[in-house]
Amino acid sequence: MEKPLVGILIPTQNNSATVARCMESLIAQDYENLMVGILDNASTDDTYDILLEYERQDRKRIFVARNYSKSNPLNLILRVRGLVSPRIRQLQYLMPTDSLQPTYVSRCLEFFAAHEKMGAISVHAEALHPDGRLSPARPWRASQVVLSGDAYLESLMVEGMERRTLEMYRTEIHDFAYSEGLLFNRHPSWLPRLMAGTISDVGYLPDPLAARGDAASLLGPEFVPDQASVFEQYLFLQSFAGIAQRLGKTAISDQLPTAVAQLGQACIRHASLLLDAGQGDEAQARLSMALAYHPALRSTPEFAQVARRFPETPLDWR
Amino acid sequence: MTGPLVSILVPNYNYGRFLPACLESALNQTYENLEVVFVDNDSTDDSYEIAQDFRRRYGDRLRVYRNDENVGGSGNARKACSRIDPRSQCIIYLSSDDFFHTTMIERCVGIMEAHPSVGFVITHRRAIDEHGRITEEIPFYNCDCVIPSTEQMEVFMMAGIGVSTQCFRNRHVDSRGNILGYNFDIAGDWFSNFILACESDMGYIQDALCTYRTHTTNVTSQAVRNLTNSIEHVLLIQAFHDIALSLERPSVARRLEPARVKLGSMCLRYAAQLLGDGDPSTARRYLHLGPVLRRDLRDDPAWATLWNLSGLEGQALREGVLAFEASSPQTRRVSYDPPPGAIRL
Repeated sequence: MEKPLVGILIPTQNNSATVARCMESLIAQDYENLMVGILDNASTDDTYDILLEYERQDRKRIFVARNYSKSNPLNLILRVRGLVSPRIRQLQYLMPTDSLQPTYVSRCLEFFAAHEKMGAISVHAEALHPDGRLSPARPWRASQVVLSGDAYLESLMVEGMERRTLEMYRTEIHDFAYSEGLLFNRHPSWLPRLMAGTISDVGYLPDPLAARGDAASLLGPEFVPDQASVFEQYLFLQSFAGIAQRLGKTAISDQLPTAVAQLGQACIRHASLLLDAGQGDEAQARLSMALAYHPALRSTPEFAQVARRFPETPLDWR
Repeated sequence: MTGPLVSILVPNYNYGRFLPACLESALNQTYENLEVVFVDNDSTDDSYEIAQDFRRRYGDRLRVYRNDENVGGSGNARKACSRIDPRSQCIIYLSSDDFFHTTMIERCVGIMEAHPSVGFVITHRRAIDEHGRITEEIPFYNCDCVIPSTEQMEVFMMAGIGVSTQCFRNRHVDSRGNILGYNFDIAGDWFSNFILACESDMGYIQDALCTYRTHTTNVTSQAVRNLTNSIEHVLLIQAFHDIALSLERPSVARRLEPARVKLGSMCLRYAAQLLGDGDPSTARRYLHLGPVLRRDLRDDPAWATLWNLSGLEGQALREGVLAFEASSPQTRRVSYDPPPGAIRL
């Protein structure tokens, strides 16, 4: 069987601590037909020099470029796409804090080959600490499955986008995502996931073939995203519901209130963690945000428990 | 022929009923050297036939295109833009339900010709509803003026100027793409004005040279009801802040906090509006959201008044809202002086 060309795309910025680990994991892949494009976003440390060394070792497969002035995260993601051949059949975005098991690419390709209608694969990922320690996370599903697009979309809406996974796409499915024209600056990987579900099946691999080292993976439930991220998450849910409605998938768009309520509950958890960290003002804002999303949360024990920790209870919290 | 070639771009979808007024206004400008590019986005009404009819009357000055399939609003705008005469030096979009005053192009180009630093001109506007009733609005600035780039960015940080369109130099089409990666559904005009202001000075005309159509079912009211309007604005000013920093305009970036405070206060206005519409539950969401952006908002007596009102119903609620609006008017009634450094014309 002919081996399709797989593109791996990595945006970097000041990642000298982890980028070598990431690159080594690519070199160790048991699948040969890879093309790696890395765009460095004006790093001020030696990330770029480290990358050049890898490029020198394998000029046929590794392509490194550099932005001399910083561009925003989404722009970076679109630019790095230009570094690899247009002939790539599968596309994998990777953060420089991530790392792959040697069989990651070959296992994904086997899975793709077995299911022609599948446009994307979600692979379970563990958390990878700076010292190399792995902490396992619970897989999203117990066994390997192929979900229909609708079932996948519904799970994203109901269970949320934050899942310990890495996604590999069939190239045309990924590129199709941008036809929607909606972009989410802080969550650029979300739109392709959702759009893949609108036109194809999506597979899930429960084996921990990947590891992620970003703050959200490392901290797990202790992670507190910044306020702008949570605002953007709300806009994302609204757009998600809008897309589902346009496609006549009302079973999914009807779940919007549930999803928004869950975002509100997450805000309550954030507020509690922010209080623990001594950030009272930010915690107060986050608790108000919870009510702005879902006013009924005011009467839940979770809300009361966090609200009690403030010296004064504002009128609208009572 | 005098003056640079100007392209008026008219993307259209199913606005055939407003199209004659629109195309007449574009084709009967006092400014001579212009072309009108009409692109129909696979309308199901008689738009295309109406445009063809205009084409027979006006000849090459109007070019008419039709898409085989609907490519979406922004897709169609891009299509129109790709079909301009390559010699064209200025571009202005005209929504196919709006229309221009006959001197629109002459006045915009006049400012750009007299002031080479000006990359775009915006004009005041008036509203017209579907039945032709006109509502005058209050101009943003109290004079015609040229405002330097950084000062205008500072203003945009705090407030969007309600415009229907902007006349800009062709070279901006390329440079605007450089800040790709931001997308604002509701505040798209505000964002693109800011981006234009990043790159050049702005001209402002206080006469209402454009008349824009208001529709009873507009997107804005839905966006107000589900909070996306305000929440997108928060992300918008955050983007302005980040862009200003990357362009080394610290005075603009410093306005992030005051801009957030202002958005927090705006939540009171939305809350009042929603209470007036008889929707206290959404009003309450705004009263929760406001303090996220402006920490001391709950100390504002207006906040407490609105919160108490949101617990009322029927007659008591209606009377309370009327009393509140009488005591604190919620719409702007003055035009501003242009910022220091601006040239009054």
